[in-house]
Amino acid sequence: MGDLGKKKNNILKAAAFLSVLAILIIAASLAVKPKYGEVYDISKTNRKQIAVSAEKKDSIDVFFAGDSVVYRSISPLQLFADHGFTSYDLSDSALRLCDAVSMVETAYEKHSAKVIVLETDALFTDASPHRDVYAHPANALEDLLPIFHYHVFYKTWLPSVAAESSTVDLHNLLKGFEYTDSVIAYEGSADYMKEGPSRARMSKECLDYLNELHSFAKEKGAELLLVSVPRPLGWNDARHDAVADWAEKNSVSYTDLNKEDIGIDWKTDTMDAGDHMSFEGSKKVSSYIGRYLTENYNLEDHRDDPDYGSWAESYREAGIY
Amino acid sequence: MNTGEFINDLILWWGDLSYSVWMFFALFLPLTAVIYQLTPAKSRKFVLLGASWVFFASLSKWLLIVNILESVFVWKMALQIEKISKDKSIKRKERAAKRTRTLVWGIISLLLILVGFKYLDFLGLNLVRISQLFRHPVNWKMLNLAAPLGISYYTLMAISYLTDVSREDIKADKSLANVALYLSFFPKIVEGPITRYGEDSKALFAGNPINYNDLAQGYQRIAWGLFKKIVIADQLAPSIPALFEGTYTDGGVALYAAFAFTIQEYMDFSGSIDIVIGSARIFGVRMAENFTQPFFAKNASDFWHRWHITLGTFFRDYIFYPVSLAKPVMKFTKKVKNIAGQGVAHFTAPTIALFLVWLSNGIWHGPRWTYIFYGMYYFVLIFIENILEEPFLKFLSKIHLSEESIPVRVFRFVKLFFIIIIGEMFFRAQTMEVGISMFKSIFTNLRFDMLLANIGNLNMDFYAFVSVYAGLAVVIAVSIMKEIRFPIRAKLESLPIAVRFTFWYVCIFVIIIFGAYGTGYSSEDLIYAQF
Repeated sequence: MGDLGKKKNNILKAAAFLSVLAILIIAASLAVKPKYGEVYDISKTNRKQIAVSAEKKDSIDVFFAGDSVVYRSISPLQLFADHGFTSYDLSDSALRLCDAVSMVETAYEKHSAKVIVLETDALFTDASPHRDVYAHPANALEDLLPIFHYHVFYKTWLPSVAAESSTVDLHNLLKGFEYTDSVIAYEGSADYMKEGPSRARMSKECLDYLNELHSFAKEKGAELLLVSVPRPLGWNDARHDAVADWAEKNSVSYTDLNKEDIGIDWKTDTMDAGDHMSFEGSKKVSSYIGRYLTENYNLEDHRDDPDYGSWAESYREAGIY
Repeated sequence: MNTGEFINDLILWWGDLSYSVWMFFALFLPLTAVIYQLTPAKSRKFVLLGASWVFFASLSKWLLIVNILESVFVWKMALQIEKISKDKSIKRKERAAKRTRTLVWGIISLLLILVGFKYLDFLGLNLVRISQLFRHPVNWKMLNLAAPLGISYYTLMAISYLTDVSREDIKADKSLANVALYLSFFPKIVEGPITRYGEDSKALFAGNPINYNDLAQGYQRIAWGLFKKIVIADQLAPSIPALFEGTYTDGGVALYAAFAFTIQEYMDFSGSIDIVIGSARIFGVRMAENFTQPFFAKNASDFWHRWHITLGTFFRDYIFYPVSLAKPVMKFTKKVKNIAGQGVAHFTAPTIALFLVWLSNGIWHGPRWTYIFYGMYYFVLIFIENILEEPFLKFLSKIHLSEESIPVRVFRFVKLFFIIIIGEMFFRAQTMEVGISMFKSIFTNLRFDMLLANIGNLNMDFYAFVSVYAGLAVVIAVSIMKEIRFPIRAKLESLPIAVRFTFWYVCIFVIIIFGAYGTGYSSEDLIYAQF
């Protein structure tokens, strides 16, 4: 074969290789892209799914959804000990609303909770399952070819394994709540709700996911409750008003603990100067939410039910109360 | 948006292409290759220089100016040195002295720039400590200067270029663009290899068209590097900080930490070098290898002939030999011979040179005492090895064992393995205190229960563990094949095209699926880019 023929042959080989590669990547992208309910962080949602699926079938009465604010504020074990209903924190750090909604939807495959509580901080952060395509070309590539976004899809197909059991065990012991002994006082204004902009808007994506969660709750015969946890660093009147408007328009209950006197002492009740609750703060928030849920929803008291004996056991084993 | 903002955005965007390992290999490199190929041969080196400067600016911003100014300085100095060499109007001895003075001045200037950017705070802080010892405390305000990208690497390349011109091993290049490209070529600027001008200049400046073989083999090497980097090193990376926090007191944890970091570092550095060599190969530049199965070395000295080879050869050619043969050292050796006899004198010059090599090696890695300790660690070990090698061989012949026998090889492998991982443990420890406490725990508290209890909580899930250690098994298998000179590439190329293509598709999908990148993973900086 002459030089020209060899060159042509090489070009053909390269073109064939790249064409088949492109087809394979597109096919893989189509195969791994979820048909509905796209998520931002498949590893996080999968971890939570593994953890909550370890709970006994149909044993959870209330799901708490949201970001780190949730697992630092609301303790299912305290709620069980004080009021007898069961709950689970479906939350993770910097969790996007798309993932929170997906976690709730997946959790309903095994449970049929009566109430879904959404903490409102997640309503004002990026809710999209995709990274900002303009921020980095790699994000655009992920958006275009979902195999790069969902490349750890296999973790959702394979069973959870013993090596993760210690993490899952700890998670399930506290039912998603995370204990901390850290305390850093908030020293800002007590009038923090008046600070910040005069108006706040939820993004279209946040509204879409909120509406999706609302419809899902209706479909499952569950109540949706919006809750704002005391949080000087992330909450204000403008955000409160935006959530309150939506809640009123959609006939959804909303309670803002920033506007209630639940006895928060900002010297001791925050772990990081006003962003998250400390353990002491979480006791006050859980106490208020427990009362609110018991008074407003028909939640069963399982404390004397031997089927829920493991909850009392977890409470004792945790040894934090 | 004004023009300045537009250019800035364009550079940042292009930089993003280069910084993300995916983007570098999937977009930056092909775009540069296409522009290169479409440009006339004579101008192709300018395409590479332009791409290199954009790459540099995107990561180091205005510090590109430092690289450009140093390139101009080196170019001018080399011409000056050559001019002196050619100046027959002065006597040979005088000419050599003048040339050496110019060279030394050039090297000192380059080293001062390096020290200015990287070591001032370290020197200042140590000055404060010393002054406190003498009860005359001085203050040092931290400068926290950002260093230009790859300054530790291109400074050594510049020194080698000036020295080689001075030794008349190579000619000074009249083209400023050539010298600038040699000192900033984008594949090697971040982590080396520390190439010599004489080795890669011809291909780098020739502007040869990209051909199928170079393109295919370049991308295959990149894929291999990506596998090591993002499937093994980056998956392992989240577990490392927790292991080195100093909170675990078990010797078992310290040993695993040393092992895991050694794996991470080797996979990160050698993987990146594979990407570098593959990228350069696309443009027809065959770069020097930086690793040749270092864990199969027979001793610490041999290990450094196989690990970060280009740094080792730099120190050999520009410190070890010149110091060993320097007149004052020769004189000192003679004195030692008179006092202590030939046996001791035999080791004198190499030991002095070896000490300077390993001190330089430690300092080169960065402004930290743990790095200097790391250098001294290898100095002591290699010194001991040099002394014990002969008695050891005599002992082997006495017990009728050959050097190549399996028990001897196993002994050497195990001994070297522990030498390497202990060295890496000190290298990674944030402070000497942490390193010493981890080292002590191996002897005082060698238990594995804490490690086993916490192995599931090291920021790696089970499948990450499986992919890391399965990946490691693949790398070990390939390393063995290379070590016994099994012709992997030739065997692969002899396969039918469909089988070959399928093999590469599987490799690509293994990298895509098991790589640590995207949502849920934080991007891992290249370990050797910080040095």
